[in-house]
Amino acid sequence: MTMTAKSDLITAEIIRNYFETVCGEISKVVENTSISPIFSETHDYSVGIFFADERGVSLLARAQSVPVHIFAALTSVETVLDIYKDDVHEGDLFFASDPYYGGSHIPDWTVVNPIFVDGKPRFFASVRGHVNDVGGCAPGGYNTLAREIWQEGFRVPPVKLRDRGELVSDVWNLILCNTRTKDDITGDLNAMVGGSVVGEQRLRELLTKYGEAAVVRSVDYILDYSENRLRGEISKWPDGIYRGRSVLDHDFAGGGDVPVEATVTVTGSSLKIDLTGSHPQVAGFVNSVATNTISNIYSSLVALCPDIPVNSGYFRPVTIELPENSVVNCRPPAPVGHSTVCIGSDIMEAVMKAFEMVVPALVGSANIDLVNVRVFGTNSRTGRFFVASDMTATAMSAGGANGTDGWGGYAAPFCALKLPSLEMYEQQYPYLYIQVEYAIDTAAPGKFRGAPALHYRRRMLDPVRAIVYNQGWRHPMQGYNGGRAGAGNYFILNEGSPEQVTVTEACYDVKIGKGNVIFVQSGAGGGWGDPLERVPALVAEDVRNGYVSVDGARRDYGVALDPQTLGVDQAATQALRASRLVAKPAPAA
Amino acid sequence: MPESNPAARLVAAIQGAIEQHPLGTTMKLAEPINAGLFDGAGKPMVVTDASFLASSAGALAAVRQFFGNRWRTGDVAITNDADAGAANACEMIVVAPIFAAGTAPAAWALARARVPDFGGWELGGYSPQAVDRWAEGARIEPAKLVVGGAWRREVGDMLRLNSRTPTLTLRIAMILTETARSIAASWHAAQGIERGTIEAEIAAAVASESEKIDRAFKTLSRSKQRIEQPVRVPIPSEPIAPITVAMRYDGVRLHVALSGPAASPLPINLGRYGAQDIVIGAVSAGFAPRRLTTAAILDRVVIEVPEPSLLAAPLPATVGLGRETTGQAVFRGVLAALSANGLYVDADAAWQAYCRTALGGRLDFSTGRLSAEMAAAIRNLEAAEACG
Repeated sequence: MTMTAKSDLITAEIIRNYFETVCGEISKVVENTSISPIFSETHDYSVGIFFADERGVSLLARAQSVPVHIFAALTSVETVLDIYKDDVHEGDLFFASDPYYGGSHIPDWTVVNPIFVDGKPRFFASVRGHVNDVGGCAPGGYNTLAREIWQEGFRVPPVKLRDRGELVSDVWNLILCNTRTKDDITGDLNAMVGGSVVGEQRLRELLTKYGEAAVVRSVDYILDYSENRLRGEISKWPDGIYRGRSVLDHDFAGGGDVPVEATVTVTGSSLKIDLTGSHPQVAGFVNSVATNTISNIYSSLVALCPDIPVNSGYFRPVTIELPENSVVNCRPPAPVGHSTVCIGSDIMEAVMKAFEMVVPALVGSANIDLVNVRVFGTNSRTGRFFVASDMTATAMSAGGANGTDGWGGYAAPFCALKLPSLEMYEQQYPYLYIQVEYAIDTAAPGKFRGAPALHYRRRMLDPVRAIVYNQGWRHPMQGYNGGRAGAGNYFILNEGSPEQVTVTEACYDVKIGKGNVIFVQSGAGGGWGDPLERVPALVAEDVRNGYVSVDGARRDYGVALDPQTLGVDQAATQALRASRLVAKPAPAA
Repeated sequence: MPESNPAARLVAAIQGAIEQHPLGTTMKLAEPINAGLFDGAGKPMVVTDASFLASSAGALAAVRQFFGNRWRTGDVAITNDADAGAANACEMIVVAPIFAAGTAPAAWALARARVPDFGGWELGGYSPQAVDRWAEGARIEPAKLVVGGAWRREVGDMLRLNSRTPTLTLRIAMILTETARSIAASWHAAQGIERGTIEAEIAAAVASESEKIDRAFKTLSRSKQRIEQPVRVPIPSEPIAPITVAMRYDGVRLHVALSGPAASPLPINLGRYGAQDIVIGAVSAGFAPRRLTTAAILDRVVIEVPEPSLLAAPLPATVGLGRETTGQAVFRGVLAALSANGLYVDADAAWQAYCRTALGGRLDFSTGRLSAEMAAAIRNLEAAEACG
């Protein structure tokens, strides 16, 4: 029976959903079988299904995961095919991590599992995950002192983990022996491989059920559909040239203010995004390879139109230009370890700020200016060496967006990352959490405010050492459409002890004594819209919730509250806001 | 004039393989190649320098254990694991099986040399600020560099990517591979000419060296010596407890028992076989007019090394400066004990000679880093080789 065009479309839509469901299943397998909290708790991994034909490699579907991973994974699949060419066989399984070989930063490991159609590798189930250690000079993979990539970890070009179904045991071991926590990361790598194998099985079932021809035909529909939807949206946007800017506080090597400049050109149904003008390549580990930069640009774009299925079709209307030898397109041996977030978040923010002038209702915080601490030492309960990231200490306060206040989690482009269970951390590492709560008057004011900054205190139960790296102290996350910037990030190590030190940039290999406390203010995302337009009752609710003080309500929102009842004094509020509006300068032409 | 017995011919062949290569000067700039031939069970037959016997045998054992019976003709494996016998991340050891009849290797070829760089903090492999072994450079637990005679792109790429001197590092790995192949070819040639006699000839060479060692030992008194030797380090640190060399000669064998503090957080620890190598090197310096080339000395010197300790520190202990610091203390301690037993040796001269032949003289002891001259030479050579 010949299928009609309509039934083909229905089949294609079913298949598109199937791809996304398979990605979700792979993701669940990884979550449920991995060992390290960075996988099982935080979900710092991503899943995608790719397709390759003579036109190139395309992303077909992804799980709700870290988009900056999975768009870069596309380059990993391309690199694998480029290197192996005809040496790709049924039963092969590939691995890659080197930033200059289709990766982003060394800790992001990618496995690629090819599925054959008509004797050719056509579909690929891929998992990209951030492992907790990759050897190198700094436990945990973030070497704040790195000046070249060899100081950042073990570099792995595309290699086969499995060759025609047979485990390549020495390569497998070579990768893992270059991690400090081999047992845990072996489990994580097994989880990634296992997830990709489940994906492979599901795709084979799909090909059997619908036939290879129908599935391959559906790919065109899936990609075309997203392309057409986005072109339709872009067509409604005003043609023009728009500029955005974001600034990183420092480069971790003595250089301050590292700007990213984005120029967005809207022409009909096409977009051009040009980062020319961004800072030249820097000495510290915030340089980004092109793959990572493009992935971050894409992450901003997909946040603009969240109801369009995300795949490579989505990106067909977009051309990107990156300046050579710059912080957004670096050359080896520049260190890149922190680039996925810093400068990555700034790339997203600069692009988002440019779009603020194009589609103001659609933009919102994209940045998570990362604060982070890697702690390592010997856990006296187990006698084992450990390296721990703690994603609770990273920015977890999203900015406001049109129609919603910032939420207590990652900004939209990172929203698949989960806030980890503190108890799970306490179970695995020698920690005792003594405070994790919102801090008053730190939420970025806006019609829709950002979430408050987090105050976080953790007592160490064993003597450990810490590597701390911070951004967003001088240039916190920006607001949109009149919303204000969020609060900045900073650390206090060994708080209250003679060794106390406040960190607004970075410190390396600091001793934290047993019983000593690490404090973090993990900054907040920016607000959206003019704070004077915020509904006064919502401000009053924020005050009752302890997010905003009575004084803060008056100062930041022009809302007068009765200090006893916390009720809104409507008349005083109206007068206050009116006086502020009069005092406001007229917007620039 | 050709050497008269297979063992000597094999040594000559090994030396020839090393020297004939176009990068011979490069190797001399860095550190000499050491090589050896081992029997099917992994027992040393002939080597270029007995000072590396213990660690070479250890490395071979580790590689054989890792791959089990998964060997075929033309395979070459590589490791730089200090727990298996390498001095540090920059020392590459390649191992190749030699097949005759049957499925199990009849013998093994081994070659080792230092590459100019293999990651870590700084060019040259010395990372005085390293917190653990991973911070000193990339680790290669055994991997096959060549499979069935075919170069393995994946492993070669990993060598290249993880080195600041990718051209030199890859080239040296190839030289080591070629050296191992040459040793295998020499073994096959010896088998063809002297079928059935090579083991006997090597046994004769061992006996000859044993006799030489025994003659030298006869001059030793039988008094027990106990030498405390400070460990000089180029890195500011808390005082480091000295190592101790206890020595006695029982009329047949020299017993050397080392003791020392626990493994250090500084990169001054010795790897698993490092102390044994140093003891053999020091004893050899004490009496051997030329390098020993058989395992005879292993039957005449009994070495005890506490493990784990500064003298044999497993993962994750740092080892980058181990030979030049703790190793030097062991070397000088052994020579002091020998001198006290009646065999005087100029320790400074012997150490300098050992550094030249075994360590390459690369460390600037005032900084704990690669010497500026050597760094410049390596950079220039890498640039020249990369262009070429």
